[in-house]
Amino acid sequence: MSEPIYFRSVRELAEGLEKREFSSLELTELYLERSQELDVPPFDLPNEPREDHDGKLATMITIATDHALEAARVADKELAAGNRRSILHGIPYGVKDILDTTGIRTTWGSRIFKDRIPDRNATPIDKLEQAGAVLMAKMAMGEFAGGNTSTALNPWKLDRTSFGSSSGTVSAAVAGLIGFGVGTETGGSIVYPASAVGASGLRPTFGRVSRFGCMALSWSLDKIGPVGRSAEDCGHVLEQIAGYDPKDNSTGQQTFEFRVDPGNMRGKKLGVCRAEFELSASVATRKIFQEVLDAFEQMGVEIQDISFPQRPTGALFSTLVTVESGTNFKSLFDDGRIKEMFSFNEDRAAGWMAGRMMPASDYLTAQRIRNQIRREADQLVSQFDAVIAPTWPNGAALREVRDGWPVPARPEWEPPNEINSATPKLNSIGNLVGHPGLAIPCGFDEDGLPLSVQIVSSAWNDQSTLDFGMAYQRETDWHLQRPPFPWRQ
Amino acid sequence: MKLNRRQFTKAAGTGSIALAVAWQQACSEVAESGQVSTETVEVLLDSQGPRGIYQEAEEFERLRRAVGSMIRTQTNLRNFSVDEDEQPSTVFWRR
Repeated sequence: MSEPIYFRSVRELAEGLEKREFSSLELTELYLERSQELDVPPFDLPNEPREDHDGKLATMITIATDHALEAARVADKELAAGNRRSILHGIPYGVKDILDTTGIRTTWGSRIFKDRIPDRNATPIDKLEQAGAVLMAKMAMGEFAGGNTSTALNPWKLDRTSFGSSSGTVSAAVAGLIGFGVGTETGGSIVYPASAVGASGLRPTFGRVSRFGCMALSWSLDKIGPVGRSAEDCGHVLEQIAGYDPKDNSTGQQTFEFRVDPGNMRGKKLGVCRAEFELSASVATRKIFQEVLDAFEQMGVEIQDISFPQRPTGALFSTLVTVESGTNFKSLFDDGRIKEMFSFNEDRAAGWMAGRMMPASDYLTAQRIRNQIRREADQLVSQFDAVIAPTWPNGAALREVRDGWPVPARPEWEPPNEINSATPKLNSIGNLVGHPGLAIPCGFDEDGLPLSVQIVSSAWNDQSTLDFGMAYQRETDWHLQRPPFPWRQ
Repeated sequence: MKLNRRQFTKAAGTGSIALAVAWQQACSEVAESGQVSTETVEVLLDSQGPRGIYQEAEEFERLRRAVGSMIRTQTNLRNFSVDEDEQPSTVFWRR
């Protein structure tokens, strides 16, 4: 096996631990040393996007060195005694700094909470602890899980965005700084950054993973999901963090037992959101996306074009998030701490206050429209084993933010909402209706930045989503490509 | 009900404007001029409690723009024809 240990998959790391090729302590020290060398944690959260990264990634807000080393020692003792808790036992991981961790500060990516140290674990952290995984770092994120405001850089090219908001988690996974990661998504915060850096990231079905102990951006939209270097990694992690939790009344009773083998894909049905395959202005990029469909066809998958009805998904999403965020963050307005948000988030804060003013009847109208979209999407998606679209039409844009969006790296490349706002977006619909979505890398653009497709299945069919991802990665090696080091500037 | 500026300012001064009326006033103003007046935003803001950071002119202007944007977004949803049998995705349920 020529791959450096730090780039290995979850299964390979577990095998290495089982065969005593290395101990959990050695593995943890390896990732810690690598993080010290290649990452510069923003211990004092900056009030503007940092420029002092000095060629380092800045994917971590807090490195929990002592905690990680102690957890690794415990894991080694248990593994030596033959008490293997799960496939994740002894593997170091990073979690977006939005989930509470006992005794380890949890900032929500904001200076306002730079000294906040919870006395409880979020439920997924408890579950990973029970699985024997080693919590190593709290990962950089967009402030209050919003947009493209993370400090984390893109390991494929440092002047490019790693998007938001789970950007630190995905960048660290791709750079080999952690064994796997856990992120969150309200409207694209796992799959978009995963797309930008070439990670595999899964947005599970809404209600699959408990959000107890996680900052709420939108109670009716937030999801927690795994990030890794392969679809299979995501499945292993999801199996450990999924499940009903009486402390989060959105969680379902459905259990999730991950099946590693996707089986024979022949005869499976894949719906293609064709309009989204045409959004990129780059012919070369569109060709790469088409090659993904060609690969599935060669597996015997039946391809069929589909289109969702045009619905006001943007207005709907904006309404739900601003009203719910404005309600949740009321105390920040009451005591004036809202003033300490990043300067480029001032408009967002004003939007939250405006959201608080909206009459309840309008919020309920939005939720009624959402219910209609849910029925329509359920009906369409249930005809297929999965549906597919590019996760983002182009490779990662520049880090510079204008009007809340990264600036396109090439003048002719614009964000999708600017290209064609009327095109129904699989990602928007998937998030609104709670369908699972997996982002996987599928090639590179002309600038050498990763491209990605998102695979979506019906609610609770997370396994089907993963099957398509694993089958694709069985036939291709895009997920095994590593960013060249030194990082390109 | 659309009040003219004088009626609205007078009613606001007596504290007798309900939030729903103020919001409707804001909607009418956006429909007519594309933006919300200072007086209307002040009434909406005061309905939320202390003004806090929005006592500052710059922050207040930011909020005024945000309210206008919110109303334009909301108009998209109000114009969408939803089936009368459709329930909201917030129905209370017991496990």
